[in-house]
Amino acid sequence: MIKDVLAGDVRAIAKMISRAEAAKPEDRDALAEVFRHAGKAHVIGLTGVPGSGKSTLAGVLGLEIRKSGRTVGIVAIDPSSPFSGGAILGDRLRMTGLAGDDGVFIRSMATRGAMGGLARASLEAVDVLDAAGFDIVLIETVGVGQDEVDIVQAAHTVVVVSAPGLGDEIQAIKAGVLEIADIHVVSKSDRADAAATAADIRGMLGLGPTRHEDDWQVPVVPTSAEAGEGIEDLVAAMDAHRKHLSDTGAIEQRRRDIIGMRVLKTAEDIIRKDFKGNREQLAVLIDRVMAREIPPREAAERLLESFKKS
Amino acid sequence: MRQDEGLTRSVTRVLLVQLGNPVGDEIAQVVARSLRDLGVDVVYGGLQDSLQDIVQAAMQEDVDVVGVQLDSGNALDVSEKIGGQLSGIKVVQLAPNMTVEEAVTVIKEAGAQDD
Ligand SMILES: Nc1nc2c(ncn2[C@@H]2O[C@H](COP(=O)(O)OP(=O)(O)OP(=O)(O)O)[C@@H](O)[C@H]2O)c(=O)[nH]1
Ligand SMILES: [Mg+2]
Repeated sequence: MIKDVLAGDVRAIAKMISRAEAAKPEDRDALAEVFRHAGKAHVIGLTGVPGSGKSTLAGVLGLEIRKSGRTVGIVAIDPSSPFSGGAILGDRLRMTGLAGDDGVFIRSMATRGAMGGLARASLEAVDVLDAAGFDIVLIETVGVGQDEVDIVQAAHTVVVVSAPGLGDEIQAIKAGVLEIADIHVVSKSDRADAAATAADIRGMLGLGPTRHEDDWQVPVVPTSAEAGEGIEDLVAAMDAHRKHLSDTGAIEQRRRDIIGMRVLKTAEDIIRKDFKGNREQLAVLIDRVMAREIPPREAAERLLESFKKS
Repeated sequence: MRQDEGLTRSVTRVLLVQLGNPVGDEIAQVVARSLRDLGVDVVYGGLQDSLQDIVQAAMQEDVDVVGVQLDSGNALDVSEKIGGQLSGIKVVQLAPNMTVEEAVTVIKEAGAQDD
């Protein structure tokens, strides 16, 4: 199975991603093997508010990257319904231009598909595509919610997509994604108000903090999937950022940060799942906290102690 | 293949696509929403150019069921054409005159069958 993944077999890759999502104990070794073989791809995070044009952009970006002969994996995340747990995964619909190309692999993922372990599962899906040899792996997710922000921050290059219109900008600031951008895209630049949005972002870049202690100048790239404009520029900016990370050695620190985050996220995931199966002890502890016998912190510590023993 | 929710619920993955020149995707959208409300993860793929594109999408998405909506001029037997390439994945055809309820039922039943 793992051999087939490494050889780029489509069904083997797809099944391995399903295993990453399900996180069953019997698949641990296979996923560990996947991880050993990952680490070569340039991972790019695409984020922005719903409807900002991320999927459409991923579709045309994919085509542009393919022109250079490189292969592309895409993990596209959409929200699950909080009511039914089901989801409509609509990103693929915007990427039909990539259909029929063996050098492209698109996988849709629901936020709840991983039972709360979204960051863990989606980054393992990225590992699978990476190990399978895709040169660039794009990960699309809305920039709302901590998990989603963590996921894009686990990319080597973070692209924040803003569509023209002030509402989007305000939302992006609230979600705290503007400052994590290595590259800003103003999508739908065919629209009249795009220039104003680009100016707004350029203005804001001078003010807030960024994570760029080094001398990377965050570019603002207008793109239009409709008119086919700015896509080459964006690929050039992504390549330049990757080169910058290597040239300055900043890639090592970023890798460390990403791995650190993943270890913590996975720990959270393990703990959450185990406690789901240990509801009795949790119920007893809740009773005691309810009676104000012990504070929540002590209950948490006791839960962790029993967790360590098990 | 289903994904265990850890507790009891299982989610089935469905790919919903259109082939040919359907009059519109209103029906498919309602079908997608109905399935979502039943707890299904629906990959909404939209209009596909060829059967091969459907096969590729179904494989990449590792779905349990593919629902293919056809236009009225299409007398194709989709599952006969591509079912063989998709072992473990059920292919169901959604005729243009099917109601939303019928389409949902066909997909649900295919998802409930064992391989
Ligand atoms: N005018 C114009 N419209 C665009 C462009 N790119 C995308 N759109 C439209 O913007 C809408 C949203 O596009 P998507 O690509 O689905 O946006 P998204 O950010 O992936 O959306 P979510 O996944 O729901 O968060 C669609 O109606 C697109 O047709 C563009 O370059 N120009
Ligand atoms: Mg999208």
